[in-house]
Amino acid sequence: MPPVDNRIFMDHERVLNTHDANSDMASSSEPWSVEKYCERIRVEIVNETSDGMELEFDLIGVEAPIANALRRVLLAEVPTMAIEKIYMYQNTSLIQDEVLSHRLGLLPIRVDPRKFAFPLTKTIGINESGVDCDSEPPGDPKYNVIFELKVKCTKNPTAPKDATEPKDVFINSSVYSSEFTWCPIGDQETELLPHPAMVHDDILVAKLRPGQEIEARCHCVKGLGRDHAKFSPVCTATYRLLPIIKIKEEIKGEAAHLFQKSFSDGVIAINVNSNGEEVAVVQDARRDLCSRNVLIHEELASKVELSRQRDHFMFSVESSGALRSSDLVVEACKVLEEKTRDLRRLVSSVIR
Amino acid sequence: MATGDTKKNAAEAATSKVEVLDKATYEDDPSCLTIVFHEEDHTIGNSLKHIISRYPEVEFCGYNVPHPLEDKILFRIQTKEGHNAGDCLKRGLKELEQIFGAVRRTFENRMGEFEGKIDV
Repeated sequence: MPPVDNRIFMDHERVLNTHDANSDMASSSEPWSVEKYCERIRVEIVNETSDGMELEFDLIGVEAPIANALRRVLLAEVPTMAIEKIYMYQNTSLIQDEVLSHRLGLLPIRVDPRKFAFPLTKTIGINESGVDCDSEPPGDPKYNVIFELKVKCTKNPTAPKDATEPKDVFINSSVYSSEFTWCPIGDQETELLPHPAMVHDDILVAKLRPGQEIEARCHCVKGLGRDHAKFSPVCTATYRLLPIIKIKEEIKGEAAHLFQKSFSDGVIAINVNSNGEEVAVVQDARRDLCSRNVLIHEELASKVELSRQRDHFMFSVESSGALRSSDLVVEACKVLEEKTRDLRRLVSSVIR
Repeated sequence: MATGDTKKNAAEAATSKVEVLDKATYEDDPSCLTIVFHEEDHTIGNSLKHIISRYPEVEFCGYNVPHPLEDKILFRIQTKEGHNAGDCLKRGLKELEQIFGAVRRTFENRMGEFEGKIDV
């Protein structure tokens, strides 16, 4: 069990000692040394799905500002590619151009953003008539990935007489993300392996009826989540502190079952001791969601101490599909390293 | 002359991202520094504050987001007499880089071990 000052205690309706002794109080017990700090950092990989898209790991030995910086960078500052410019040649569907464009922008794209550079200009200017370009630019293999969407809905001549469902009566009544075809530019055909594609093939993009069609060319660029959420590389990136459940007094019999039910599934197990009595034991505290439900039972509240370990962060990262979650964590650290390095250089140039 | 120009250009490029607030005061008394980081937020502000406020020579360290629609933070350091706030800031940035480097290396090592275990 970690020392008392390394734990946050959870009361019935409040959480005690949430302050950060090291940075809020500037009264750390030992002198600061970055080398010692770095030596104490530990990582434990808990679980990874077979496709590598979901990852759980523990980051131990850092404080909330460091863990939070990592989380925030995963959400908003690790770059990915997303559709940014859409050159719409035809859209006679019910969904308006701008709404369709917004939908297309949000589609996750499977392409390694590390092989691309950021666009040189943040925004593309407009001319005196309010237009940013007269024709579609060819695209640059270093900056762009281009997808084409070309669908037309027709009546299905082979549909059974009694069919009523649009998907039976018409062809292409629903446009899915699988309709996109990748258009390689320059040497992308050989350079980009595996070939860029949509992460999911079954996202409904629009619905059409006979005679309606959509024809668009979508140019993707590299961007950051802090600019637009479509560039965020993760669905979620969260952390929570490791719960610690300490049973101060033996809980037996009927009370043990009530105790078990007060926690999330799998947290408390019931063992049978040598006298044949049922006794509650902590099986897996990390599965607890810290509802603190146990504290509403007065007879149990005095027998348990609920706390969380202050420097033990249980991270959960779910990639949206461009990179594996483990790669995203590494990229996030690199982003932070690069950011601090750049800032240090810039600070040196403005002060003396 | 030419070197002076390049220096000036570098400083100008930096001002778009980093800017010293009330530079004259800082030059007069280097123990107080307020610096503006454009296009930065709590990510770097809070983690940097956390590191710098642990230095014994630092009396105060804090940051502030002046307005949610302005993409910048103000970062302030006040040191004890005889210490330079700018040096503390540079040290803080350097150590923050070391910390995230350590997190990355530890993560990469453990991830390698984890993948090795799965293959077996």
